[in-house]
Amino acid sequence: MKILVIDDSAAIRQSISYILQQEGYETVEASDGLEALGKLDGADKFDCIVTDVNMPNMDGITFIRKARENPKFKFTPILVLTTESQGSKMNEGKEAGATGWIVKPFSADKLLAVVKKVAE
Amino acid sequence: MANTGEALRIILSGAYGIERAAELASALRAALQDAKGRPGLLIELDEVEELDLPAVQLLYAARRSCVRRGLAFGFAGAINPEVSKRLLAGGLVSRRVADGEALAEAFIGFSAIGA
Amino acid sequence: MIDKFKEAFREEAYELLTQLETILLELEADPEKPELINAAFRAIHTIKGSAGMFGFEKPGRFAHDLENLLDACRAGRRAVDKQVIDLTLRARDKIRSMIECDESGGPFDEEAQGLIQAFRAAVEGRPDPVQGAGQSVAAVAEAPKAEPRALEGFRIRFRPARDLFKDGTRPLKLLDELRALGELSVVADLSAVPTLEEMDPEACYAGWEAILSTDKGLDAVKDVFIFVEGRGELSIESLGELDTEEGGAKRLGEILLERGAVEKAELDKALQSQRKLGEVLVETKAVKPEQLQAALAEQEHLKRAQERHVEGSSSVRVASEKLDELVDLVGELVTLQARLTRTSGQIADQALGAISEQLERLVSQLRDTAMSVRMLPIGSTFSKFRRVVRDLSRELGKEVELYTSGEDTELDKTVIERLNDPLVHIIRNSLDHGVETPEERLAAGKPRGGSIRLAASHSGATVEIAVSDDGKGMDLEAILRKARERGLIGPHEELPRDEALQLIFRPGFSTAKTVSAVSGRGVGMDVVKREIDALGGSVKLESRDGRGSTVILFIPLTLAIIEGLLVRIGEERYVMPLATVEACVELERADKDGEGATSLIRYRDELIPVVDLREAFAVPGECPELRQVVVANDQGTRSGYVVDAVIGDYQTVIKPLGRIFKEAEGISGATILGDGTVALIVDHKRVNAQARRPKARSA
Repeated sequence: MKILVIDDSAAIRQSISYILQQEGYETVEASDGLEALGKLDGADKFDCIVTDVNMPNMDGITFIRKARENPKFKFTPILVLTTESQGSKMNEGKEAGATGWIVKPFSADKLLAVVKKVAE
Repeated sequence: MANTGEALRIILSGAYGIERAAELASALRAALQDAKGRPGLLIELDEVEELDLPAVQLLYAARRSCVRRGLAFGFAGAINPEVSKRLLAGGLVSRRVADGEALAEAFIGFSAIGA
Repeated sequence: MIDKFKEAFREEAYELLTQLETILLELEADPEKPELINAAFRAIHTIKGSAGMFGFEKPGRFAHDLENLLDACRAGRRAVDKQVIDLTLRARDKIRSMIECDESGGPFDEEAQGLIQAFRAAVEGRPDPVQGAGQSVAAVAEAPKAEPRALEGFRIRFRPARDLFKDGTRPLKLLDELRALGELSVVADLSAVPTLEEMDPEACYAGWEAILSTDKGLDAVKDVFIFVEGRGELSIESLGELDTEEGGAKRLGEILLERGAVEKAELDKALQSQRKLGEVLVETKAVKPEQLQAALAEQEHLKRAQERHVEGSSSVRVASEKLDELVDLVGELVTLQARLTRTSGQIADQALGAISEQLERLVSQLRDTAMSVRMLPIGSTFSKFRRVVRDLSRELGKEVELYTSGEDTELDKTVIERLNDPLVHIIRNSLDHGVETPEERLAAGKPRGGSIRLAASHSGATVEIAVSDDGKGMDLEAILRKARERGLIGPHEELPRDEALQLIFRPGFSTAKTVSAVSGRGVGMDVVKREIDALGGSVKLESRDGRGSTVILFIPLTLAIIEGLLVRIGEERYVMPLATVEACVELERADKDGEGATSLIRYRDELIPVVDLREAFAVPGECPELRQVVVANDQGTRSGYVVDAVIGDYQTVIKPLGRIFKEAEGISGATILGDGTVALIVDHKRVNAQARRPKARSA
């Protein structure tokens, strides 16, 4: 199981990776949407993608739209990281093609539960 | 019966998730063309490791197309127990199935298609 | 969330706060620049988002209020003026000092409270009571405690939007999630699937109707569908509590009414008739047959769920001795059946042959059923190991987590019991020798805490149980050194990596530098191997330097009945497990090179070692001229066993040997043949090892 983790905060990115790795997932990290698109080009498959919304260079919503245009990732489960104050982002994310969302701050258990909910 | 000879056998193999839906659709559409002059289509399921919802829908659609053309449509081969378990969990079959013949009977509403 | 990333967060926050300062100063010079306001908002937003995750809940709450102000500015609801910039700068300093002083929670001090009030006033243009500050966010951390609830039934109808797959949603996973909440009956509806020509292969045409009984409550059910809200038609109706009288024994009429399948007036009319309601309704065409089916299924589900809830489970407890007795009897039946098959073959009577065949089918079904009764999920033993790992890692000063999978893999009850000790030993070994101390791990660039994974899975007629750790792996050099010291291999003998690893299973082997309290108490992995061999299984070891090692046990599903090859030596009969038998070849006395129990023969261009069972078991009598060799293949290693004659395939029940024979080398059990005589079951691996031992030393 390989998961792409996208967040401009290294602390968040690394801790998400860490939690997922502890559960046996393999992770690839990217610090913004643009870098993440590069990672998609270089990969055959991700079992799940977890992305932040607010990021420099390319935001999460734009990233999702672009990812869905790539046939390899047309049906890949994508989770959006949002905060309480971004209720609208959930809808925007869904419209762009996100599978679900995780509200920050979240615990390790919550993260794993949501990832398991959408990823095979 | 106007049609003679054997049914056209289509061998499915591997995991059929949503990623392979388009591929499976064109394979079945092509088979439908090739089946002209034959009594029907027979789908071999021996090597199938996964049959997700999109693939099941396509099998239903194939049956509907066959019924329209007066062709028989059936399954053959053993069903992987994992596949059978998933189908049952998805409410797609009425009971666990071991082979293709049982699958055609157990698929919910399958035999009623076109009837 | 995780302490090790706290420092990373702190550094990142400082960096963002420095950026924010620069932005604010630029903004002061050019307040109309939208990029600058956006950048300021993003900096605070990021801090707010991550603070709560690294234990800085308080600065997170504080940042939330500041974010609201910046959001108002960003959206143009509030002008960016000197007051805003001034407030934000002061807030920035406050956040920094909170993070610096490690203020993770608790009430705000006066300065912070004042600032929050000022943010709110600045956004809304009116003062706000200080008390309410940040409470909405703080409440998030406190998840409502789940109270035990009554069992409740739900009728769930879900007809997803056609484009459901397009956002990566897999509807079958939703059903799995529902099933995790309780008991689920589900029927799909694919009547909307068009013809192949009209169909969009990537669209969803399916719908489901499900009945769920769960004690988790409506919210838990709704949560399953949280990501597909508005993505199709979804209805979740409560059917009420199932423990109560009226909930459980709901009448068919009620269910039909609730489902909207029948009109009240028609129902009343039908109820006046003395016949079965369902029949009447279908007959009078008040209800369609499929509607009646669905309603009956619902009634059935609810009844079942209630019974299960009340009784706990609808199973029967049976003393395990009775089960053993049953399996013994079935075993004897199997044996007798084998004899009948042979006899009927000799008599060649068609009628008898037919009966024999039919009986054979029945007996084999009976055997499978009897065996399945003895099957238990292995998970029950897994929890014990969790405790072992916890206690032992504390004792050793290591931080190790145990992860398990495949708990529902079923194995014969006896096998599970006998697996306990070997597994404890392997896990202890991994903890003691495999996983490093936190210091060593950190030095090697690994996470502080190590992990041990215990995974069970089916693979044909065997179950694989793998214990893997993410420790330092096996030290190959140390293994070879120790093996030389112990005389297990020659002083200059080199072995391929794979073979060298397996040395640790040899008796008297232990690589621990000192004798620790945990392992190395004289018992080693050889004990594990012996136990697993006795179960008819095998052990494999894999190791990657610096990455950890894995011990894999291959265990037969059931012990009690084996497929065997019946052979004769002198007047005695023996059974060899068929699973490893590759071939039977003839042997003339002249073919054997050398005397004694062991020698070599040529088999398919390969020289394989053979053991003469007549000599190994000291069977008296004259040795015939023409004999047979049974060739066994154990994971690629062939060996031969000389017997007088091969009689044929045999299904047989293993009876454990009495205590006196426990130590009998090379015999793993006994069985009673159809004619009442006893045959011993050959443990050929042990025979082979035993026969070879003195020879290896003298060489």
